[in-house]
Amino acid sequence: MLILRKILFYIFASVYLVLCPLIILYALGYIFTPKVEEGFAKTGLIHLETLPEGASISIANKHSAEKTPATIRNLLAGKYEIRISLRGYRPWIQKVVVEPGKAVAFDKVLLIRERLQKKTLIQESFANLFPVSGTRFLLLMKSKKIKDFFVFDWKSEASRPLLSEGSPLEDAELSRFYMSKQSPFVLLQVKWNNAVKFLGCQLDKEKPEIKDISRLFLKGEPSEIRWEGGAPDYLFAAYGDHLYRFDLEKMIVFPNFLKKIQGFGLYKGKVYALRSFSIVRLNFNAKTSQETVVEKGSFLENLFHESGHYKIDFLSRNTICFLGKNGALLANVLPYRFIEEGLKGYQEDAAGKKIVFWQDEKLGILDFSRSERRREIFEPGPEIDWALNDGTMIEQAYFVYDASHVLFRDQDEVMMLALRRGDRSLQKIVKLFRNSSMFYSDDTGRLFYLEPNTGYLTSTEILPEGFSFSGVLSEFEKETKEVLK
Amino acid sequence: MKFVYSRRGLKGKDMFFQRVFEVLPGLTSWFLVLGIIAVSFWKPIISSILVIAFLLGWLLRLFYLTIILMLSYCRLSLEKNTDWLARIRGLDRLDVYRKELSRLGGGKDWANKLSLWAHKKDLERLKKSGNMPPRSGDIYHLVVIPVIKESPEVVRSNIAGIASNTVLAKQILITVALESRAQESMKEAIRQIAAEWQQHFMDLLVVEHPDGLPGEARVKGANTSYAARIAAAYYEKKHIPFKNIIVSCFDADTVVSPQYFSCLTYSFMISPDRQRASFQPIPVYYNNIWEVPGFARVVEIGSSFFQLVETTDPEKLVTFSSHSMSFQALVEVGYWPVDMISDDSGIFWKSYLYFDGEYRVIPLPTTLSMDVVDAGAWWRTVVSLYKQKRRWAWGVENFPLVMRGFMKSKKISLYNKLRLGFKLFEGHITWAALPFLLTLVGWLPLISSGNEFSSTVLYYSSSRLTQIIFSLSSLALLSTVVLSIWLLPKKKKKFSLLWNLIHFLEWLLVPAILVFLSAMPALDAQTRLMFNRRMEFWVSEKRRLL
Repeated sequence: MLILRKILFYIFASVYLVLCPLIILYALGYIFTPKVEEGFAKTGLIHLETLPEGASISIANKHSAEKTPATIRNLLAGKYEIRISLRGYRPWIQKVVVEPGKAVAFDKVLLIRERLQKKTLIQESFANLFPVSGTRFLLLMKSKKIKDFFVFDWKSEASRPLLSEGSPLEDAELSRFYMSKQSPFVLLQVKWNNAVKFLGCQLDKEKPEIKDISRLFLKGEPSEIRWEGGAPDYLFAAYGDHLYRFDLEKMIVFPNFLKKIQGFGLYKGKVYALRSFSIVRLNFNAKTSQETVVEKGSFLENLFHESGHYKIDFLSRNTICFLGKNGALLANVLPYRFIEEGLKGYQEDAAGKKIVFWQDEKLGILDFSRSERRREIFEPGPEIDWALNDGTMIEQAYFVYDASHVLFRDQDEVMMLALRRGDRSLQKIVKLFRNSSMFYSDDTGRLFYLEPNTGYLTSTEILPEGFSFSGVLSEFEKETKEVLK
Repeated sequence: MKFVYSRRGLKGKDMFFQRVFEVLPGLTSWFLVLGIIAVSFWKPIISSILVIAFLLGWLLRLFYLTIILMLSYCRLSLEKNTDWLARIRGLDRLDVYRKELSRLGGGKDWANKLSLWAHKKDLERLKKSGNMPPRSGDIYHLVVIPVIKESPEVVRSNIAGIASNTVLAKQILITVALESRAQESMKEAIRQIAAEWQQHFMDLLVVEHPDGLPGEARVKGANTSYAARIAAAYYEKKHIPFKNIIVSCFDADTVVSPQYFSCLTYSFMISPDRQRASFQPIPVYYNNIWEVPGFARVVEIGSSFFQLVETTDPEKLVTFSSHSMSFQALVEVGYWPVDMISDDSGIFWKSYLYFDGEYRVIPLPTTLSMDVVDAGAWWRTVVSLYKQKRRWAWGVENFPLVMRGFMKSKKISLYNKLRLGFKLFEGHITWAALPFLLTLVGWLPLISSGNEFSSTVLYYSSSRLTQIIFSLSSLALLSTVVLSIWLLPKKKKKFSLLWNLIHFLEWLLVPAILVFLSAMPALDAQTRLMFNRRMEFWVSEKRRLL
């Protein structure tokens, strides 16, 4: 037995000594091939994952037996054209350079149907739609009259009028509305009987509740109003450099909640306000102005040197954006100032780590999660990735499929842009009703818009049916749930 | 070599080396587990290459051990029907017996043929050595059964098992080594059992071990050594030479087969170096195997298989659990260690050092059965199993003593020092670190993803190779499952098809068991040794439907 054991041991040891280096060399990409002079060559590979899966692959006009997801190995260094095709979908073609020992990965290739499957959701003409950011509601507008507004729940695909039947506000006309991120509460500023009224609407009720809160607005129209949570207790309104707090339950106003501020933002039950030399914090329900200084220094004055008000927006606990009146974009991460002027808007991803922002003709990506340490003298920060420079009038953008693509509205057309390095392919998706908005959510994978000829509310599939990428539950979603509790 | 096999009273250099070797196993295990993670962050390419080399080595080792396991099983099956008693009697008249055997071919049964062939070889070796054994009638057995809080019924079935060796029973002296700190009711029950069974044996003594004797720790070895000393006085009184006595130290829950002592006597007689050897049966945990939770069953089948594999390499075999040895040798080395928990393996190393390397363990081609840990509620069983495995893994306490012994010994060859030292060290490191490494390596590519490494061919290859290797390893697991079906005792009650399926699916727990009930207790034991936090002997909770 002992001898047998020893023989076996030496056999296995020999197998290991031969196999191990061979397998390691293969893992590094080395193969034996008569195509090169030396016999041995270091190869590269291409990794492909598509949505939907099961697409055919051709590389350098050679059809591969594998279907996506697939890893095509043992490719000698050189240029290759990859073609991915799936019946009923637009082909995806890309040219890549394969380097020895390197892998080229296309791990989120989104295939778009040749003929988009459109679904008419409401067969009535609308003039515009307004997404209520971070909620499941859209506001549909036929005319500026409040009676012509409808609430559409895109999760259940049900709609209802904003105003209940027989409401005295039927003739009221919308002048402006205010929304706050992740809140189904909207504030409408309307003209009614020659007077300005402020109406608070709770959209998530079975019948939208409308409450006249005009008496809180004795000082008139604020420059900015914000609130937090599904059914807010307080609204915070900026009048010049003063911040007012409106108590919705008691219907009372705390006039100088904070003074001499340059901007404010809300996060987890606290107001954060920017002053020339500091950032202060105060609880929503504070009885006196007992503010806490959370940041202090003359650098703040240099940083926020533009005149006017800044909107402070918490993407996550650690990432805060500051949007200046002239379209400047700043953040609390190096190099702090990202855009000097002209920013029109931005949209964050589900994880609150990336934003896609737009100017008239440009579309950029800022990824705050990237913190690769490089051997540099200066500490690096996120850099703007200008994904598109030749737009016409970009007005909206949404991340698609775990932020691997961007769906944006340029004039009256919706386009989709891939965000992969080396793949910035642009595809036309649909045309929109003149001057109307669109809405997209990764939760359903559908785009909601108004049909260009009829103005009907329509949706079309961007991600295949049955697949929705809600990704990581966004920080905000979690936090909002906590606040709602 | 005169070497005090204990860490007590060490000073100066001895203490320094003792501590160095106490720290070494734990440090190495932690270094391996944490090192592979650290390397994955800092040098993912090197880490991936190491992972491939490690996994390939592990896979081949797994296949190798599976083959060895199969061979060991075959060897065990080969001797299943052997008439050991006839062989013993044959040894008493060796020359005539050899002539008789030379005329036998073993019949048509290949197992008989192989068994006979091995037997003839053994006889030839014995004849050549000229070191003839005493006559079988002059060979005596001493069985020491340490008891502290085990159920008296368990002790009764142990004694009944020994009594089933009817022919040799009158040559067996049983010594129940009872701790004086045991409960009075327990002592009384043991005395009753002794009175009941005494007439079956040469004698049955109940020896009470006083608590707190100088130099002793509260460990099993102190109890058994005390009982063995009393037995020595007993034999001296009867003028029975120690060299004719085989001492067996059985855990209280041990149950031996009716052939056990004939097989042991045969192995003792056939071994020319019988006074310099321990005899190791294959401990299996079958007494209550179908009464315990599934995970406990899988754990102990694994332990049984490990022992089955170990017995195929007598050059590196160490005594474990219930074992036997020459009483003469036991007396010469000064009995079992009295301040160590792992007295079972400790006695081998103590003897190996005492006899300057002229000592070995002879595997017995027979099993003895013990109880699987069962504490009633499943979570208590988990805790109990964890503590039992930690106690076993505490066998690492032998490493510093053995290494110090090797440093002092001039007669043991360097080759043997390196071979056995490495085996002891590697065995404990593999025990503690391997399951963690196997669990971690699957995640390492994920740790590395997102950086430059994820755009290399190696990143994709290593994930693929890991998958292939793990898939292939399931073949080894499958063969283990099949073997367990052959080896396990028949179920006492009939289980439904669903339960049979569940019993089969229990094997899917292997990865979790390897980490939580094997590696973790081993790492725990090594870490305790590292930080000089000594352990006390803890009796595993066991239950059996009698």
